[in-house]
Amino acid sequence: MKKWIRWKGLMFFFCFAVLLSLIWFVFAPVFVERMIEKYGTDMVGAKVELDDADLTLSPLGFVLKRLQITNPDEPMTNAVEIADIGFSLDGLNLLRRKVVIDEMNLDQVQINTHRGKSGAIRKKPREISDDLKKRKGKTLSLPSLKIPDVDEILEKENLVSLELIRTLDSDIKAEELKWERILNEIPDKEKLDEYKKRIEKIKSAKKEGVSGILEGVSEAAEIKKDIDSDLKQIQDAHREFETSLASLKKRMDEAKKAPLEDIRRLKAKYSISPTGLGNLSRLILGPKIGEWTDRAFFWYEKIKPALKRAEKDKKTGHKAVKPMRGKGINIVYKEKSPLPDFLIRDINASVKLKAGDIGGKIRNITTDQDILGIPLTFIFSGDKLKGVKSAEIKGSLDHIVPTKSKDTLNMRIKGYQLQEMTLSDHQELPLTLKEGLMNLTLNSQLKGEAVKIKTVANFGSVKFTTEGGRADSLFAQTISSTLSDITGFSLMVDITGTLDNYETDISSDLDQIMKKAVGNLVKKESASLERKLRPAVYAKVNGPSDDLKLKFSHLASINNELVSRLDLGKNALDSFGAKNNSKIFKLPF
Amino acid sequence: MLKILFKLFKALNSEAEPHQISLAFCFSMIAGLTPFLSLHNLLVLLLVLLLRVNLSAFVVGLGVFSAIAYIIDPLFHRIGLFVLTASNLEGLWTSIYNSTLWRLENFNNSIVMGSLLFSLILFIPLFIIMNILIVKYRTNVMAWVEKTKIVQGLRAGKIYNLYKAASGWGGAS
Repeated sequence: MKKWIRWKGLMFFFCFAVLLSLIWFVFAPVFVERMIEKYGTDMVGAKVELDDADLTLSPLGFVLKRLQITNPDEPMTNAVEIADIGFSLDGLNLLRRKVVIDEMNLDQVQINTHRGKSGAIRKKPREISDDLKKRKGKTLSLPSLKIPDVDEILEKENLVSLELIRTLDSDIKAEELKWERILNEIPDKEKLDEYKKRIEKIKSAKKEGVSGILEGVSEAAEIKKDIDSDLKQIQDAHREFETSLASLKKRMDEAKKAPLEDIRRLKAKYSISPTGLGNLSRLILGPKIGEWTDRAFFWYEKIKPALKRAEKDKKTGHKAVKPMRGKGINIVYKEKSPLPDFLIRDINASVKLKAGDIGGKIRNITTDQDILGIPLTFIFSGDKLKGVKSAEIKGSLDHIVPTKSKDTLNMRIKGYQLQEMTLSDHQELPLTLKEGLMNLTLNSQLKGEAVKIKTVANFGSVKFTTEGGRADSLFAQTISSTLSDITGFSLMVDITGTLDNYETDISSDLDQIMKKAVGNLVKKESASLERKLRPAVYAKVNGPSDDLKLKFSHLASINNELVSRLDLGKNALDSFGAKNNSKIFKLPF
Repeated sequence: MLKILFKLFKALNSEAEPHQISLAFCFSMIAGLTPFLSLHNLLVLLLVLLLRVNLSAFVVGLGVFSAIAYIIDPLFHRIGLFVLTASNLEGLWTSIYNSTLWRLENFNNSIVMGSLLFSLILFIPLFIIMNILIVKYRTNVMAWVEKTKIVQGLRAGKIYNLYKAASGWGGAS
């Protein structure tokens, strides 16, 4: 036996094993710390830092000190800061390469704490997606409460009536030139008088005999034919002229009415729209609600990847890994009691807010909900807080079947004391909710890609202030006075669509109150603007309009000329025809 | 490393049992060909230290087989994949997959399985071949080498002094 066994070697092996364990004990916390910081930072897009990590052996677990998660939008602020995190690991499953944490305790979770050093990891600020840009572009602005001076309006606005007059003026000019040319081309007075002379000549000629008579008849027929042709030419021109004249007349009528249309348009543009004021709650609260919604969706998108492992792992059942040397493939077989690779069964959190402490529980955090078959659930609640009577947030993230995911979040807040809440920083109407009590109910659901959020908020004992607004603005004064009388109102917000593209519908009984209060004032102001606009618009339009009338009247002389030539031609034909029949010849036809 | 080589030669040239050197080579083959930080290598290390095998031979063998493993890893991967995906063995693999110890061993990795299987199959043949080669070396080569001018020259030089200094450590420790 002694020949084969080397007892010193056994001792050396033990020493080696102890040394290995010591190395692991010393370096495991460092390794865990680095892993949390690296993966956390990659996931959030801003620094995730951990002050310290300690390994405990009985039970096997870790105690993490001061975890800071930077808000990527505000690098000098921590979105979340946790003073202590303690958890124990399931040692047996850890040997099977499964991180299973039965219970985790989060102590002193704080939100929005200040950072000593910036937690930004990018030099450039986070880029806003195209969809978000589009949404931001859609934000509404308050209707202008200031009616500008009429002269200012007319200086920057183009009058359609003037444009019409200018176009018509050039068209009339062109028409005039055209008809002057046509008048030169068609038979004129001289030519028509010539027919008379020729008729007179036939009449005065004394032709005898059959040949003389026939010669006279032939000559008369030729003249008649010429007159008919000329007359037709004049008649065609007259008809065409009448059509053009009718068209120009119609346009003249339009140009006459155009100033009124200009006045109506400018009045609509520069008056305060009662419709706009009818949706005051959307105008005031829309941007704020949009901002909150975007922030909530941003954090949801950050958390979401933690719920699912890379799809390819699940599809193939094989996981490509890079072992210590070379590359290999880990073949996955069916487990008797399947467990996710990562699972935290219970998290107990104590969140420290300015209002006081609230407690919460998060259950079943895993990357493999399909294996566990249970959704992630969470609930946070607190009573008798400073400034809040009670608050409860609960929800679930169900990704058991990834294609049929359903996430919910429900929130109930009672007796939330609002103080100095800026609702609008509009120059004309700065609006601050000085104080008030709010009860809020929010129910949200994300089913697949479709988001549906319904919020009802009831405000009581409210006090609005509009300090800093324009004291000389009657509208601001009216709105301010109306708001100061309001002691309570309700607000409904419905959000539907997808996370990238959603529609927000905001309604409130505040809208009706505002509409009623300022409705009459709006009408009066609008009438006053019209009274001022009318003479100013006409003053600009009258001159060109009179010129136009004058030019249009010139066209009448063309008509007169055409009618006169037509009459001359007809007279020539009539006189020729009458004499022809009774006195000169007796034509056989 | 030079000292270890000398020690190996001393063991080869000494009266140490050939199987002590052969076994060391065979263990080094397992540790060298398979991924070093595997659970089974802890057992190999225990056996190497507990059994009276030649440690110098183990260290030299470990270096040689680790170098070989870098070249033939693709072959191990193919062998491992073939064995792990063989349908008639699926039941066996599934049952041991559910065992914590085997999961820790990472047997389901194609390279671990391929290299372990390869080295275990070659274990006994290598042991026998090495034994024969050592005996042959001692009877035929060693006497001839001793008489060569190079060895004579080396014996007179510094390296040989070093070899002599190291010889006090014992070949078959």
